[in-house]
Amino acid sequence: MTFLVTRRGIGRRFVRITAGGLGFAGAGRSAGAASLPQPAEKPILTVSGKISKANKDGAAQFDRPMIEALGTSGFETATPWYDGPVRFEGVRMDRLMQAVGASGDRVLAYALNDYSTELPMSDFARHGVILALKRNGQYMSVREKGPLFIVYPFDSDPALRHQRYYSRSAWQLARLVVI
Amino acid sequence: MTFPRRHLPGSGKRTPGRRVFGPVLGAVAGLFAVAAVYTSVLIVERQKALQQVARYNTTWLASQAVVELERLQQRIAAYALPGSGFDREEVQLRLDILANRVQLLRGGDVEELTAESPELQAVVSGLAAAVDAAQPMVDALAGAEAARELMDLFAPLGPGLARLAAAANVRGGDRVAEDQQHLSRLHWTFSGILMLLAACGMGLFGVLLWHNRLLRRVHGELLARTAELHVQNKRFDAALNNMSQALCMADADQRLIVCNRPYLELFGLPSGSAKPGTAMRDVQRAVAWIGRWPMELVEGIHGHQRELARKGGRASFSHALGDGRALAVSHQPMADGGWVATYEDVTERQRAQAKIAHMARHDALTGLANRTLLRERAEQALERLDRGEGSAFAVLCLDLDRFKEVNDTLGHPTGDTLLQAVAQRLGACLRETDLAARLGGDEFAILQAAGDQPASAAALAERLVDLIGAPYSIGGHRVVIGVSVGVALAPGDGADLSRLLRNADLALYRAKSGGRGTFRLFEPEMETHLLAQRALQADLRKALGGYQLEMFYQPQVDIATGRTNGFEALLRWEHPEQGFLSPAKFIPMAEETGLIVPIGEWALRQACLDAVRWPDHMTVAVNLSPLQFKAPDLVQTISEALAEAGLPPSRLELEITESVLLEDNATVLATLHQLRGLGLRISLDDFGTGYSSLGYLRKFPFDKIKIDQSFVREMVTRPDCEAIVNSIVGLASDLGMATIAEGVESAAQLSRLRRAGCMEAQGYHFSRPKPAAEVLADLGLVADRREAAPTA
Repeated sequence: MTFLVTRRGIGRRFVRITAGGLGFAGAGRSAGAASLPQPAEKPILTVSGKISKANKDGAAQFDRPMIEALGTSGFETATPWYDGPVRFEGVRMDRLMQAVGASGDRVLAYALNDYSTELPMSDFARHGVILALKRNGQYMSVREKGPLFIVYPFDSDPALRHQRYYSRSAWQLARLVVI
Repeated sequence: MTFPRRHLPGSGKRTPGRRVFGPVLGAVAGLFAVAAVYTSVLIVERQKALQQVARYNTTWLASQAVVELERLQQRIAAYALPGSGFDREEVQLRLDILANRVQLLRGGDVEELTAESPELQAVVSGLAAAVDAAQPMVDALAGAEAARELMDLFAPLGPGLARLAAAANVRGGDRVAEDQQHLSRLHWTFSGILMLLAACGMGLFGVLLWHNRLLRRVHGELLARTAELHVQNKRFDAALNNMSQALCMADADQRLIVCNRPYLELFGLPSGSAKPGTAMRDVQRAVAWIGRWPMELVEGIHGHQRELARKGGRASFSHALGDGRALAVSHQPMADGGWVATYEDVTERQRAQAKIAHMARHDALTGLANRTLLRERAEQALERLDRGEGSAFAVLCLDLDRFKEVNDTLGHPTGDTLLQAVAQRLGACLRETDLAARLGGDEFAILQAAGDQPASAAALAERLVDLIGAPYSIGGHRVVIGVSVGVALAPGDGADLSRLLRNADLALYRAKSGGRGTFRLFEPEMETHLLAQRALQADLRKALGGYQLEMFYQPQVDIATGRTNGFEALLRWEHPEQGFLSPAKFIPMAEETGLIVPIGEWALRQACLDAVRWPDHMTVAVNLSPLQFKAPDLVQTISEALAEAGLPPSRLELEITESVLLEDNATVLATLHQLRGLGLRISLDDFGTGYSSLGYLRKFPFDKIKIDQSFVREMVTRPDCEAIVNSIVGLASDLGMATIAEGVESAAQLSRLRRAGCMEAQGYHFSRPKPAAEVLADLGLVADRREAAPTA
């Protein structure tokens, strides 16, 4: 099992996970409450900041199965980016925060294209925000705003159909920092 | 707030503005509604506009393409540099990100932007083409050379994407301006509507003020009208309750509208019992039930009124009962189908009318019919006779005997009581079909309706004589009167009441002259007798001037000595055709006609003239009628007669009957005392008959009492007559009065008188009355030639 970590730090670099197994992940999880299992596949999300559970240098790295292991949910909604309503599936953000033991009240989201935005922690439970993995049943690629996409259920509340929430909906998500 | 849709009639006419108030208010309300809807629409629209503004920022989207392209180029460049640490995978990631950008630029808002410009469209398609072209190159990326080729592929795209970003920026600015403009328009529209609403509100406020003023005015008018109505109601109430008649008003459904206090009082209804709206039937039932008026009467009236109400008729009528209680009703229909009626208790009025009607036909004292009713009944009976329906009837005239004396002696009140008692007895004799009437004084008449005439009338008359002649007890006095009745029969004795009454009177007169206390049926002969009487009266008037009257003298003898003391002067009338007539026949006639006064005066003068020639001791006694006492100059006449003849007053003796004293006593007594003062003597004639009240003897000291001949004539055969004579003589003697008996016809009578102690006597036993000349001859004196010649 080899970890390739850039020297410049987690904040600016992708963490490359060359190998990983669920079995290990299960073992890691049992190792301690403050630690998360190590990702078996290539990590696609790193959560850092005020968290209590980590698996890599104080940060929590997730590969797709780890994320899906948290339990998925989904909804259909219209968005400014697609014609017609689209179904998103993924993990609820509040669930994710719970998984990492987040204690802050805001979350900074960073995308692969270096886009960043700030989300209040309260949004997650209140609006049922998800970190989508699938669109219309298909995993999203980077070319299709994947692999992770923070989506609000815009159709559930007209107030959500606002630039504020559109800007919070970060695609090609790579990192989350709880502050 | 509610506004009355209907205004008061009348007030609406004066303010036509009120009619437009409704539509104005409706229009304002409509305007409010429209404004509200429109405002809502505007708000929605504004929300949409804001949403437009809130849409994803195209400028950002476009400008990121520049950044991402640059990153890709940077990674490619880094890749070309050995030892940079960037690998092919990093280039692939950046290419994928750019590919994602191409997707974004091809959809949504950016597509709208590029659709307008082929140049920009070319930029996007150029980028897409470059990304597509780059993928195989990245897949096969190896070495710096390949990197340079890749660099070259993307190098020309930078300026185009920058232009796209710029265009997006410009479009964003335009869009903001457009949105701002839109918002501004919305703002102004909104403001305009608000202004309009404000204006409408002001308008509404104005309308409300105006309306309130109208309401206040109407309210004021209503208050004034209510007050006026109140006053009118009070007046109406006062008028209604203070009218004398009872009033009741009902509507077309026969329900009570109003009734006044006199109505309640008249029928004895408790106040508040007859409320407006009560069915008249119930009110009437209450009236009947309370029983202030007999059931029979009120039901009769109510039945009559129901009949009138059904027909809508009007009538004034009255219902009366046998006891005289009566109600007068005036029933008037009203225009609305109801009626109004007034009720009046006319019991007193009817009783008064009945009383007046009764008084007009009846005598107040006795309650018998008067002459008017008698006439009506007689005329009715005569009419029936004319039509051949009725039977013969009788008219009886009654005259009480000696009533005048009762009146004079016992006073008028007693007389009146007697008349009432007589009336009562009259009634007892009659049948219902008969009618008794008082014609005045002591005159009565009876209309007897009975077929069996004259027997019925005769029987009635006889009964009347018996019954009325029975003694009465009045005020402790025992009064005895009699009645004389004259009967005339219809139609035989007269075709009208006047004639019947006259004929009945004739019969009555005959009955009276025939001795009183009896009755007579009219006979035609009576009429001829009456005519004869009238002729005789006429003759008597002539007699005085025609020397047909003559004085005769009858001696008055001293019983003890047998000497003639004097003579009583007696009047004789020698009628040219009927010869000598007795005084009993013509003196009453003279008294009736008033001729007694001149005749009496002549007799007095003649007696004085004759007596002066007799021996000096002889007196002359002259009778004075009661009527002569009424002549005011009696004393003067007598003193003149004495002086004229030269006769000493002591030789004149005046004989008066006690009836003189029955008259006005004070005057009579004064006259008697004056005459006594002249020196003459006064004697009481016919003593023992009539009342012979001993009180008279006390009232005036008579010189002599003359015992009536009726006692003298029978004193030999009847001891009671002798006893009376004895008593009178004894009484006179005790009082110091002389006595003389008249009508002495035999020696036996004379001896009894002598025994009784009577002083003087007069009668046929001594001499019949003789003319003056014969008296002179008897006295041995020579009579005048003129006087003596006819008798020689």
